[in-house]
Amino acid sequence: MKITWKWLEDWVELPDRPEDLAHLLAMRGLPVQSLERGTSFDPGIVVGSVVEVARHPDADRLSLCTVDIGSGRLSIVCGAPNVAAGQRVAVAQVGSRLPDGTKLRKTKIRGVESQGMICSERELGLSDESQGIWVLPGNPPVGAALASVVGSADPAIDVEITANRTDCMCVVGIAREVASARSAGLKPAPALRAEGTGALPEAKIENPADCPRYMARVVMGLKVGPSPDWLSRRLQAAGFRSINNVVDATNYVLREFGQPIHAFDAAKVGGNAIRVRRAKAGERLTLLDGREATLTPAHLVIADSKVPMALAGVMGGLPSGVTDATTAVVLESAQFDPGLTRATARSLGIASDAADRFAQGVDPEGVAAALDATARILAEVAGGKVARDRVDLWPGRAERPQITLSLQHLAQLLGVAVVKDKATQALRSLGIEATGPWKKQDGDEAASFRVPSHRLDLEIEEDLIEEVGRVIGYDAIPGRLRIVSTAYQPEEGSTPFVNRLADLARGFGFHEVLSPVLVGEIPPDARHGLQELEIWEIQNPKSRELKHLRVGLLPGLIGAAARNLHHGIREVRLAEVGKVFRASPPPLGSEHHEAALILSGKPDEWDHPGEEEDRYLELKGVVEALIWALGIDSFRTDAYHESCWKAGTGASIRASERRLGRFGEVAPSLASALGLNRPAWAAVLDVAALKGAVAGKRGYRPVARYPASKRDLAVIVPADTHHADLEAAIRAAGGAQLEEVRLFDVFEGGPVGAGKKSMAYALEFRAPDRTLSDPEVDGLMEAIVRTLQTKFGATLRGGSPAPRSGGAPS
Amino acid sequence: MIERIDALRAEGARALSGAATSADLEAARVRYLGRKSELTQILRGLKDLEPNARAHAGARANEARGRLEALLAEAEARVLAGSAPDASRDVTLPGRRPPVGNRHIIQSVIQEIEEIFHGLGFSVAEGPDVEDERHNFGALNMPKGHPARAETDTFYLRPDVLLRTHTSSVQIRVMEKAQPPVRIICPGRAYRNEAVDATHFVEFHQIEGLYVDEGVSMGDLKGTLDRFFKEFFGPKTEIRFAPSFYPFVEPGAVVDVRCLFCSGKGCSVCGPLSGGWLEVLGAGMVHPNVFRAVGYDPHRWTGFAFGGGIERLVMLRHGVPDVRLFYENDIRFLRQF
Repeated sequence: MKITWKWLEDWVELPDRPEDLAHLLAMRGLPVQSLERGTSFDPGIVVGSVVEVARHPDADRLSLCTVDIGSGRLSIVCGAPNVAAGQRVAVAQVGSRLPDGTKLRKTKIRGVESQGMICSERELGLSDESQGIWVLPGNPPVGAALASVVGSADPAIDVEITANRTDCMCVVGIAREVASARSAGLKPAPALRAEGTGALPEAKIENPADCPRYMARVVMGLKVGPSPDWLSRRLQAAGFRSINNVVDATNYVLREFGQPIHAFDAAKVGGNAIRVRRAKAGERLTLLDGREATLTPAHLVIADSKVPMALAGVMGGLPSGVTDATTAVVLESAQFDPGLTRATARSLGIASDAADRFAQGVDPEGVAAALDATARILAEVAGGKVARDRVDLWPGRAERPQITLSLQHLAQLLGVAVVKDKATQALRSLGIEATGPWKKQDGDEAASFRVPSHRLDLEIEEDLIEEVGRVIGYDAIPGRLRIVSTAYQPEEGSTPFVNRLADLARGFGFHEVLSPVLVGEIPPDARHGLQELEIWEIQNPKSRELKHLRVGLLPGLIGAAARNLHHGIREVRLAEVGKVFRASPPPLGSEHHEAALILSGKPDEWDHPGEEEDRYLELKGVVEALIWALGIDSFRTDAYHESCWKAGTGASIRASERRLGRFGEVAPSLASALGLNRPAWAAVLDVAALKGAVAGKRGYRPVARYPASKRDLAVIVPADTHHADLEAAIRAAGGAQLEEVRLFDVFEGGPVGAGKKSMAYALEFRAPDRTLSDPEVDGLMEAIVRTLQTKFGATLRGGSPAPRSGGAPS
Repeated sequence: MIERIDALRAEGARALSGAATSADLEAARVRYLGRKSELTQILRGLKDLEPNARAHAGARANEARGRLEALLAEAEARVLAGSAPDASRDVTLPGRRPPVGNRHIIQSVIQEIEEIFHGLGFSVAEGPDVEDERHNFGALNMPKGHPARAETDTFYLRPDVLLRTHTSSVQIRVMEKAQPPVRIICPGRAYRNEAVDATHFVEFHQIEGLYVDEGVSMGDLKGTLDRFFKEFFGPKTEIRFAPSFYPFVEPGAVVDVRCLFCSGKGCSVCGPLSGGWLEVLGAGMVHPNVFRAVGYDPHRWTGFAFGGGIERLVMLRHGVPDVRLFYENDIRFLRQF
């Protein structure tokens, strides 16, 4: 919220330095966002008066202006459409410097000399953008340095107000905090001179709940016109546009007291009567902004004896509004029901400062002060006389709530003991008065406090405790570190497991990424067979790209891989562990953690000489190593088709009946839909399944004491034979003493023959209690070969199985 | 005897200097410096000589021994250098490196924060990203009509189902399940429908902390966060509490740290009016209405809660200028940390 230094100083003594004020307010919970230090314009930028505007002889959109700058007249070429004779403008003379450092030179524009520049607010660094030149408000003296009329004289202060402190949405509210912090009082408001009697309307409130308080005054004999400089300048600093002296006076009071004021043209108040009532169904009102509103009894209006004049607390009506011809006004200052005001504004689609304020709740006591201030200012700036009588209906006057404060609770919650006098004094500085003495009770002391009418946010004891804390300062609370052990709770979450997964992936050379949960259209191939209804769709999306919740991590990884390869990264190894989402079951759907890896591009030739083009087995190896490292000893791979994998490459990994994950070469159609035009291999793992498959801590198994017998076995089998089936058969036939089966070569074509392939295995046999003899091992090998012959039609390659070269001595 | 010592010295020097292999060297060492060598025997026999001769011969023998030992060391170095298997190896060739990846900086900072709080007796809690209004707003003392509930800030999936706007919802989920004392932190993603710029993205990470027990005070909050920030930003870190407002705490506070860039002298990061402080967290004492919403007795329990954005902490500590960098997944960014 923007106010100015001097405006605040009207109400309270301020510290000398802006930094001190900023600190003081920050420690009260009102941080200062910006504080102009006074814009110091180059003295060569002065106030000019536009005397004449002529068309540039050689350019339609440019005008040739004669500008009086006191010391003489300048001829200036100006491109702004809004320049007009009679305006006061900021003129940068030749030789002066603009705030951005640009030095003005005499130039010719389209053949015509320009002796300076008429500035826009943007060129003066006062605003980020501006349309046309800046027409100076008020009537500043021609020739005066711009610095002396704007900016520096009264720096603007922008204070951040938290949602609870609506009482600080005004100059007086902030002044109260400053006064409390400086242990000072507010300065008194100037007195109102009211004289004579006016034609005070007769007012009635239909329902006190709708309008707890209604006040009005009449100001007569005024002249509507421009506001004086001080008024328009303060309003401008506060973010209001200066309109005329009447509107400006009401806006000024809104910012000063936080109280919306409405001015009716006294001549238009039919029957000189004011009725605060619900609208009748079908009543119509043309609003100040020209809109036509059709009303219902859900809307509160201010009516004259016949028709609605204003939407109460929201917006005035055009027919009863102030015009240039207005000579007397009825000023309204009231308190309307917050909920009703909000509902009225919302149902008619109207947003106004007044509606916002009433919806927050105004200070019922402040209604009178604001009304008197408006009348006083109007008398000053529009030359009116304020009638002595005023309307003051206060049927909804409510007793201010009282809150009991316990010293013990205060000390306990803040963590610092506060003596009762200090607490009382702290609260009194904020206008929170004790209603009686502190009373002893069960070793504690408590007192009751009355909340002032402007503090609608104070409702419970903890609110008072915060107030005491604010006044004594949070700095006064000593820090205390308690390290306690709470009840043991077994770790249910996935956090440690997720961390382990990502750490392992990192060890395998994968960079962890974080992709957005919010995604655009999900490619059909990446939906994992989900129906449309199972995919969460955001009802109020920011854009089409941020519309759904991801159902899997694969698309994000493919996109990230594509972008990195595009940047010229040679090899991309990315991993992500994160949540994926389903819209079922109701109400919250389901979310689970997924882990995914992607591999694409080419490794560095030096680090990894002789890498194959096809990195399918490399990716699979990473997945297997990862699963093993997590503590899962036994798992198997089966072909598994999904549309995200290239045909024939998809596979699933299972441990008993649990599917741990899938992998394959990314389907080229899916990859290219996401911008990736090179082969990529990826895996998607189910974190919960992995966690469930971990058997627990691994137990000890005796380390072999006797040497193993090693044999090689090369068989020729039909080309469609699967390694896993062969291995299973070898293991079954080899029995308990077959310790290891390791594939070391696969070969197709040439001497092997069409439709066949050669698979070569290294086998290791071992007994736990002795060295196996050759005949024993030979017998096992024969059994294996027989099995392979019958089951797979295998033939031995290169004759009989041989002891592996370099094997254990027999 | 003196002549014999001098002769041994000369012979030994020749043998050691001439040794070309480590075998030669070892033979020479045994012969001239070994335990059974003649020189050693002479030194051992000195005690039987008369004092005058003993002093003379002793000095000569020890000198000879010292010289031969020096020659031995020289010869060892020479032989060793000469026997390197392949002197032409270019040791400056790059090693063949296995690929090494990185944790994402956000994730590794979350893990670091978890570890710091583990050390302070906090455990990690989790909750869903897709939430209902009760857990995200209602139970957190944000009744209907609160500005944070307006559609402009919140992504809705169904009328009552939304993407959590803060991790504070996890506080409610934890307190619904467990009785005090409760001492948890919960890191996770939060979502807000706001304009994207260098410091705002529609998704971000938060860390939430909650401690409910008998007699928990704002002093406990200060002490805990002071320790946390000293571990996170460094032992000289100073923190400051100033009043602020969040509906689910009372009293409420904003937590600042002394600017890391200018040590509080004032700079473009902390701004001219902050007095050199940077806002890092929101915090406060759990509001009694929050306790009521989860069935805790507000007269018996008090608690503190705090919450803040992880991205901001990372941006401050690591100097990352734009929050969007965290989600672009550019390896040139990822591998920096």
